[in-house]
Amino acid sequence: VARHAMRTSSAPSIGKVLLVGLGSVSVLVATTPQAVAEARLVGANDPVYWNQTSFNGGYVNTPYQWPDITVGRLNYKDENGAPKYCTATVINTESQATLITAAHCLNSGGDAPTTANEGDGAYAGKWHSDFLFIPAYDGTKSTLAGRAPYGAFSWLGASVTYSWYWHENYHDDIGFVRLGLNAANHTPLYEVGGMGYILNEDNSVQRWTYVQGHPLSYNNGVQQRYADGYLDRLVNDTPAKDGDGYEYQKVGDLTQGASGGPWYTGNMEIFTVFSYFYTYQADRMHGSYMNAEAQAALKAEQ
Amino acid sequence: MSIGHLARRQLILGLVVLAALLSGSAVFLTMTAPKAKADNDIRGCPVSPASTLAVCIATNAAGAGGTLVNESGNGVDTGIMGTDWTLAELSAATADGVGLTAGSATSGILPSAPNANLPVDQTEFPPALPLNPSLAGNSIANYPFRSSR
Repeated sequence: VARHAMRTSSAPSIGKVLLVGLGSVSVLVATTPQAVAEARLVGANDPVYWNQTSFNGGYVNTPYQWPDITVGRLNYKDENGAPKYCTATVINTESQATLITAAHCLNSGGDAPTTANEGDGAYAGKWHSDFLFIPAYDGTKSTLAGRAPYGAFSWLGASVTYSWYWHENYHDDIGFVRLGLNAANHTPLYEVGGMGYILNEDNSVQRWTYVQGHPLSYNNGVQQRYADGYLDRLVNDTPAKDGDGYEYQKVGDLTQGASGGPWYTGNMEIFTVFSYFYTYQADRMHGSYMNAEAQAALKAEQ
Repeated sequence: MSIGHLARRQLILGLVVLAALLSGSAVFLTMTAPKAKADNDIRGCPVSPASTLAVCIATNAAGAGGTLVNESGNGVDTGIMGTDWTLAELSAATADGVGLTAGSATSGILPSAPNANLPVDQTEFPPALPLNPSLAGNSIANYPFRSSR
């Protein structure tokens, strides 16, 4: 109920208080002046909301440096054959060839109405195809070597979470891709290294966070943009384990095209990726909490 | 110091040692848990280009510090990620009910990337890049939510 209200309510009308829904009980919580702007309805199963207290953002200097070079464009064709792209990142795995991105970049998401419909292929998500990863892509360069300084990597396999495959569940919008070699017969990890990652995190953490991507809104997505800011947990909303995961104020033009782009710690550990935002709340981006489902998908491509 | 005092001190010392041993055992059991608990971190470490492959996983059961478990990279892990996931297990993993009710979470949500048809530079790259057969065996081909080329 709280979640539904969250979708249909007008955010400005609740802009002075923080209303925390705990089951059927609503609690009115006074907030600091700084937190007033963050006011919104929070459901009992909405685990973590962040109050971004400071923010920096801008371009990624080129030529990119590590770990920026682990990030790149993931070109693909959607389930209807239309060419599109997302952002993806090489992570450190045994295969030396694994990408993390958003599940919606890999698969359309299923529409099974209930768990009883799982297994019926008619409800399964439809796969995208022709994935091609270009790390450190810089479309402003005049030569192919400049645009793709580490080459391009085609795909071997792609896996998404169970809940995405059957239910287009944006709480589990995480996917992984296995790549092949580039034209120099090198693995992605050899060429650009890889980020770390965090699964099953205790998401009560507060940390300085870095985000990165190829947003379409900036120069047609041909270059990387980054932002960083301190994400301060606003609501101690337990249980904080299996829900949307992370949310924070949208960073400038990091919107369409940044999907799948990494959110990572100062230790270069990715804890989620760009996923979605609400149309009525376009100043906030969400990333899924990487739980056991993401772990299973990673295992398929590690 | 009387014998009574000595006996009492020995008893207290014994209790302290016993407590320490029990505490140590608990830590040990936590560190070697066969499968990550829901509240444990699992971390893969970043690696710079062309460096020696070193996959490491950290578990943070106690919420402080964390224990790094270095792996040899031979594909055999410590058990943290070594269990094959069955459909039933995956289903159980989502049994929290989050988002499984029709319309509970998706309406009103706008995916952030694939809405735009873009001029994609796919054509400037070779259509069929080489694979890496020596590494292909690491994937779990029977994962039910996987697509392959």
